[in-house]
Amino acid sequence: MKSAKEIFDIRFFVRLACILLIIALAIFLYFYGKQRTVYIDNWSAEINGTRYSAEDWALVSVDGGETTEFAPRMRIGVPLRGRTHTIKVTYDDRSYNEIELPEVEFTVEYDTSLLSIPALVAGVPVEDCISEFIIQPAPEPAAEDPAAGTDDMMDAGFGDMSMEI
Amino acid sequence: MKKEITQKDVRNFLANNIVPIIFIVLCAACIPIAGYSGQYLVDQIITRIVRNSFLVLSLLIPIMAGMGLNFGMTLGAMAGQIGLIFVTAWNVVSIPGLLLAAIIATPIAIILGWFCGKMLNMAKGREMITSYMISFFMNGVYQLVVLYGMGSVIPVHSSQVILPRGYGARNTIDLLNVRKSIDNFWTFRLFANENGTGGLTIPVLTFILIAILCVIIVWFRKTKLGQDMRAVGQDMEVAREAGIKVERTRILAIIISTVFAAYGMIIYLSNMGTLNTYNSHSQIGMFSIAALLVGGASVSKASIKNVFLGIVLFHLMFILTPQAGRNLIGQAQIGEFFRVFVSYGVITLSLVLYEIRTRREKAESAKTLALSQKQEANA
Repeated sequence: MKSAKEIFDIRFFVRLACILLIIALAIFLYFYGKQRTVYIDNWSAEINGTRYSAEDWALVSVDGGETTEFAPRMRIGVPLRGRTHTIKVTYDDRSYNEIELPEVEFTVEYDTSLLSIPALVAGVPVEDCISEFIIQPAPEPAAEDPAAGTDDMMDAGFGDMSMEI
Repeated sequence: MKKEITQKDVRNFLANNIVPIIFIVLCAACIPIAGYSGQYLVDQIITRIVRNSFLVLSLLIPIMAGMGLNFGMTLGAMAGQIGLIFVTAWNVVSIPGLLLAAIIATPIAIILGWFCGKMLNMAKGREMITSYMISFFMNGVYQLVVLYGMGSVIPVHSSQVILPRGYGARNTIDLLNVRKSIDNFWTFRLFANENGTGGLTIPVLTFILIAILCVIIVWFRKTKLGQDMRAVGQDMEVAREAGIKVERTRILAIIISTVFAAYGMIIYLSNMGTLNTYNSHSQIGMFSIAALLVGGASVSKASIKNVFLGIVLFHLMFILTPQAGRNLIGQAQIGEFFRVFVSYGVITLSLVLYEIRTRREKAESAKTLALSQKQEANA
């Protein structure tokens, strides 16, 4: 029987440190690599009881990437990795003066979110401009039930070697 | 001094390399019939090497430890698939996604490898059939977990992964989040046109990973554990007398193989871009073993050279036979049948040849022993 001193030796702590390091790496990879989609939206929107009309024209760049031109009633999904991002918006005011908003940092919490440009341009805090965007899934075809093909599965696939490898 | 090549040398060479020779002849016959361009074939071969090398390399260590062909590598493949299922459900993309899948797969592969190693220690001398049966058994457990556990017990709720009924993984899962992440990370083109298109695309990072694994295997053979494994592979009783912990060494060999198989499966599936949830792992075990045997490996001896030669020949035949079949008799299906027949045939042939060779060697050593005893008696 090993004593506690023999069990909790330097090797034990090195191994424990390695395991903790790997768990920390996994957590980092999860947050760093998780992709969320933010829909940049130039539709009229109502936030906290106030209505904001769509912009006639706007240029939007997310995370310093490609600039996209927005017309009214346009919505474009941008896949983003990580949680914290920046957005830069340029728009025309009523006198057709081009106004560039300072770059705004925002945090994405949902897998799919909606970011309203009209609200952002009107000076609403960016966290209020973002809301969860739930896309209704298309009706699924009824057929897919893996249990129905259990015989094939039990065959371990050896009878079907036509798969591209 | 020039060594003369005797008829016996030629016969021995043919006997030892009969499987690769058959495949070289088959491929040479099929190339003109199929009519593919050289560039297309090389491109396809590069793709297959990138896809399969890691998996086939994972088979080398158990052979070194005298445990034969590890049909239990499918356990590692299952672990890799589970890692990818989670990563897809969480939508973790690109290389971080693959790394996370590898981290998730590692403990699962270690546990499965340990279990498989324990079982194989209880069935010494019958490792291959036992590992084959373990893979069937674990396939059932895997299906239970994936088909009924995911979504109900295991909190996975992504519609990309889970069936509309709310539990159970889909038959096919798109791995768009990680597709070709490693391959496209760093590439260069050979023989490209002036406008930079065409030619052959070389996925540098994947080749680096494969090269690292090859170096690890070569280095591992020279370590204390590697030497122990070789000693165990030569003779278990002698190794035990020499103070080697035989059972522990054999379990470690299977664990290492299972973990490498899990990583190999992640690389393979990220290259394919689609996960066939209930079939991919079992198919890949058979293909990898067949490829290794085609390269000239046997149940007791395999090297890195056998891995690459095997992948090239086996997959060249896979590419050529459907088109050759179509051109020859107007049906691609004949090529499909042919390659199924060849895959099973090559494993059977290798096992039979191994048995014949072992018996012949035993008979020869017995004959030598009898002769020396007779000479001693006469003296």
